Amino acid sequence: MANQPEISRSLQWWPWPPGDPAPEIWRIINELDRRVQVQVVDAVLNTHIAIARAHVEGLESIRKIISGAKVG
Amino acid sequence: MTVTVTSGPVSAFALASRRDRDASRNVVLVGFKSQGNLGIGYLAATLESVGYHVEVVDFEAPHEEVLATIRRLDPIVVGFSLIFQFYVHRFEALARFLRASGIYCHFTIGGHFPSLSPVETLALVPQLDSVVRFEGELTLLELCDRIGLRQDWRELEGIAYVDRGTVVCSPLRALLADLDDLPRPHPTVETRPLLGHKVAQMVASRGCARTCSFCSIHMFYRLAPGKVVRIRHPAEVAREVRDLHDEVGATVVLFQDDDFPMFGPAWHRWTRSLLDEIRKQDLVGRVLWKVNCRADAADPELLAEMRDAGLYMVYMGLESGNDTSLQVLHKQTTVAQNEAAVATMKELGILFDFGFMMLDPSSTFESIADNVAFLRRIVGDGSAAAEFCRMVPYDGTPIKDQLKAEGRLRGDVCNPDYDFRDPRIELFFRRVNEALNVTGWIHGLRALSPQLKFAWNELAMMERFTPSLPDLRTYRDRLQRITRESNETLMQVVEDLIAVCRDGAEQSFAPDELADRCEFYVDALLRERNSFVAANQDPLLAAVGLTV
Repeated sequence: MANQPEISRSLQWWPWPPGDPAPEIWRIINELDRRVQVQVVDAVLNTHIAIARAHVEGLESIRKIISGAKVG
Repeated sequence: MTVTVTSGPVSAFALASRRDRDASRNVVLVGFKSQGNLGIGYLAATLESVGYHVEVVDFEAPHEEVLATIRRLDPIVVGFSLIFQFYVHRFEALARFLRASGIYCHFTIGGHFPSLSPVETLALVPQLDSVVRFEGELTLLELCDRIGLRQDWRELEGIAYVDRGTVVCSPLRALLADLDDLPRPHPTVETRPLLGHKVAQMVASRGCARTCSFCSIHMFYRLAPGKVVRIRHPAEVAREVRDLHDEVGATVVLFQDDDFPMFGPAWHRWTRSLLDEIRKQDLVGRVLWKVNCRADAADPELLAEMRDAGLYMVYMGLESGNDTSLQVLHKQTTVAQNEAAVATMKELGILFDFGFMMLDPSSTFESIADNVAFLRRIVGDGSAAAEFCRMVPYDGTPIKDQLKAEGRLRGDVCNPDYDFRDPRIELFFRRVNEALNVTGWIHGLRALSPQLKFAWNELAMMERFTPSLPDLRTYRDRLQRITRESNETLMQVVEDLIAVCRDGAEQSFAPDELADRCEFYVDALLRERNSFVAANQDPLLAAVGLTV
């Protein structure tokens, strides 16, 4: 495979949409892509938050059990 | 608009040029500079032609950078160019930042959305003083003139503004009668090269005579008084191409007309006059060019003549492979015409690209299956990369109004959306979007289909400018094979998801597997492309006047 560095800078692969009459549409597409990514990040964070909450709830229930236990 | 005076007809632009003004002040225009921006280019050139100093700032530059430019220039007007409504909140954020930073000059905005929806624009961007509606060259010029002379600008034609809480829209300004009155657009930014070839953009006309229900272009030109479609003089168009070649070194010109004038006998005559002028300017063999047109304008005889004069690519808004959808979209074309147009391009050896909406408000699983079958018929051979999208109900379009009347319009101005009649289609859309977005097949410049399209553009350059390259035919065959296999995988994914969402079938592809397949095709494409270009560097560089 020919790597980009072997190719003169003028001929390097740098794609853009010459056919599209409104190249700005690609900005929107990228924007929409970002929105999808934001949704994914949101879902991942929600999962992490749910895990953390469950962990905290678990720890609190252990503390409750321990605090209720009689020593001696 | 032309006004007759004793010395003969004088254009609206000529009259505007003679007006009193203080052009010692600066004007800043803010808009997208990526890939060039002819709209801002025309605005800047118009202002500069009467003496204003204009700087165009990239909307995507950091806010601090925009602020620094404005502080340095102390302009009388900052004009924002809002191309698509999706960005209105981002423009508001910039305007808010500038106002908070102590910029108090006149803020105005133009573009399709502000023109068609000035009330919403002024509500969403309250920092604005005015909206310049529709064709903006003369209105912006007069706005700057009046502000510069401290005159009342609220009497201007073609603007909107807020007066004591109410939006006032002044009478609309007539569209320019003769586009050749305008100075040539200021080159706001250099377009990226295409295999080392310098690319320039221009227009031969403005406006579109058709009335597609999803498109805001015809609404933009139809609401203002004046002729909707204005075509430049062929000699002027060819002269501009020649100057772009001689002065900028452009060997590729992209005509970004809304609809290149080549439909019907009158426009055939115009196009043939343009071809004569192109030959007179000795541009054949020196400059390749691209146009946008409709499928029903694809006349084989005319296109053959255009190809011989340098036409290398045609972009067509095919939109659908289902006749009912084409009717809903008010495209006024048929599937048969779409297929015939593509067949013409293939027969003539003209590269083609196309806009295609897999989903529209009338979509059913049957129409989607028709669309897949249509795409297989036109690009199943790998002659072009398949790509598709979902129709978006832009502001000011008839279809948005229709969806609203039917109670199916959803979302907001930045994210307009609608309900399908069959709710399973929404699920289908989400699944297709997830599958193809995640794998990077269609959306984004680094996605597979856009990269394939670019490779086909490069190939067209090589076939026209350096046809004797060894193994060029082999490279074409390999590119076509990769495109064919990529297209077929794409079609299979869509068909698979139809079965999943309509029939409750099991999804037959795993997302990871699809991502791997996509990566495989991208790798194959880049391997073939880079090997071929590396092996032919000398002649390719020589074709653009360079050496290794």
